[in-house]
Amino acid sequence: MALVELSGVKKSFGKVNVLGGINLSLLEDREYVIQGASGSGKSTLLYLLGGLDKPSSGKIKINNMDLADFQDEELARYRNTFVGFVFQFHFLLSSLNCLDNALLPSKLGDFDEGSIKKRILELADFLGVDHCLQKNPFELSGGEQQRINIIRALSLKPKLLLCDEPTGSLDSENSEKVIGLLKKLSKEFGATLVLVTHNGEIASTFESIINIQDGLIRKN
Amino acid sequence: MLKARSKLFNVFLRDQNSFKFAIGVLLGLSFSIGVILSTVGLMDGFESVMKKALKNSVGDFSLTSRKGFFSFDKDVSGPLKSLGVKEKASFIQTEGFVIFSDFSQGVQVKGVEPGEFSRVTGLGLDFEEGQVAIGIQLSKKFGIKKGDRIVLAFATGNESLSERPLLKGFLVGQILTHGLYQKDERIIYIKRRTLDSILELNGMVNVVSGNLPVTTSLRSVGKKKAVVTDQSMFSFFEKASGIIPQSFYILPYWDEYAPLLEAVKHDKLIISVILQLVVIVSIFNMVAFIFYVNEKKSREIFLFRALGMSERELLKAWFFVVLSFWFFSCLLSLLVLQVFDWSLANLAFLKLPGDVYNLERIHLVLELEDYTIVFFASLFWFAFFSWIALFRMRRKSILEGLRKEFS
Repeated sequence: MALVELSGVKKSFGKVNVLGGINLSLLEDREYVIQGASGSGKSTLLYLLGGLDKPSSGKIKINNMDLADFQDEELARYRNTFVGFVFQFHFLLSSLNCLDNALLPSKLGDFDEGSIKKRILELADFLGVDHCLQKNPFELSGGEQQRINIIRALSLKPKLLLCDEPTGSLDSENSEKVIGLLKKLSKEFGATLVLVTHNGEIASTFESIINIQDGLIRKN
Repeated sequence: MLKARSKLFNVFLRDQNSFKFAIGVLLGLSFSIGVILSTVGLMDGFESVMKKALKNSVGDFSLTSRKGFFSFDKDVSGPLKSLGVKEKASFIQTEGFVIFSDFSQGVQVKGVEPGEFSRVTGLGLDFEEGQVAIGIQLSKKFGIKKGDRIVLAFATGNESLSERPLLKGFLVGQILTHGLYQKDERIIYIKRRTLDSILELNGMVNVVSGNLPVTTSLRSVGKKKAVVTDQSMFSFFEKASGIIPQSFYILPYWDEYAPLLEAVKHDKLIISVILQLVVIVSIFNMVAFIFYVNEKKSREIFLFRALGMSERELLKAWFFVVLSFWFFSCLLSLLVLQVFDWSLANLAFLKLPGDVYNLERIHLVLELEDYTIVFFASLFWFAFFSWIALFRMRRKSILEGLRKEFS
């Protein structure tokens, strides 16, 4: 059964049509890459999957449930526990240290901080950023910030891991490392990985490639 | 949920600039609320202190005859009894001169029965035959001390000596305070019997003071209730008009200073209009903070939303922050009030010129309704502007917000 199913999803901002009718099925425990040129609508599609925006028309079904039918609280819980989001620009709060940044989803979802903290420490150790946890984000390099971003996304063991150009600000060596880690961790956590990139090399390492052009899927 | 709210609160105040700004806003707001309450309290305090002082010199009401002197027992004792008046004191009031050393001054001399008069007014008169009680301002003005000898000059009642005043010497047995400058400077109390014999009145009096037939507990609830309400006074007068003989007129204790009290009421209205400026300044303070939070912290708010904070939680957390500010502003404003009240009572430069204002010291008097109106009016503005800021934020989707704030 598909974990996520999109049918006729359209999205426009004012008069600009960004997505022109997307039909797509994402299976459980698989890895997908969404590839396309800048402005093709790939990030918008990712945000729609993450419940951060609503489609102008069409349906997004999660485990056969329409996302549009979710109440405010259900949608918030979906974003909090079901989805892990690795943002392109990290989106770490400079007023909090890295540990508190990584703990934000658990605090917002009222989870037991003890066990989540343990997982964060393990992940930090695994990703080699355990020495960064007490530091503020601005004290870290781009790669370290990205790894904290990944830890935050994985802290609540999401079923759907969405990554928006996670290697955009990294060199090729670090990019490779981050992609490898994301694949490994999503497998380990049994999560479906959906990654957005315009980098063909990275895309070619994925099981499934979704090509987007002018808001439509050209090849799947 | 609580964690989310406190988290939002922490994030709002975590960086030093926001914390400093928040403290500044908190102080500004509490000061503005404090100023409004102080002004209201000051005007109410003036009215209250003055009425209390007036009550101390005449009781709740005074009764005089259009014909001049009258017999208490024959003319008014019965009607007062049927009105239920239990605390009453009849006395003689006349004009005279006080002479001490090289000084002299016109005074009002009251011939009273000290115990009876004190029960009505609460003045605590205590002097013997051949003694007088004088006010504190007269004592200060002429340097008169307890035990000094003063001379009172009366217009005589003796026809054969009508061209000359009658001089009588008395010892000062008591120096007292009415709380009103003019009364403390001008009134001298002597025994009724003594004044009666000087003026040859044969037991006649010209004023009766009395208290309304209300329980004493009614008088002791709060500072303002130390005097009876205007309403109960008016209903008593209405009842009295059908019972007291036509040749008498009955006046409330504040009648002597009624124009001044009326002027204070009008001042209150005008000042409350001017106070709107203070309200506007405090609103500017608050708006500045809300827009600062909106601009500076919307990054945090959008990220919280993206990571799982529902709109409902955001609404609650937002109003929790705003209500906390309002609550602490109100608390701090109470401290401002206490400081101001203490300053009024103790600082020399806040002492009023008594000969101009009649009162030297006033204190703040605030009723529950004053606090309610001021606090809830500020809460209304808080809620209103917070809602506008929140509404502006909610119009943006999380995606738009994140992209804008983190770009």
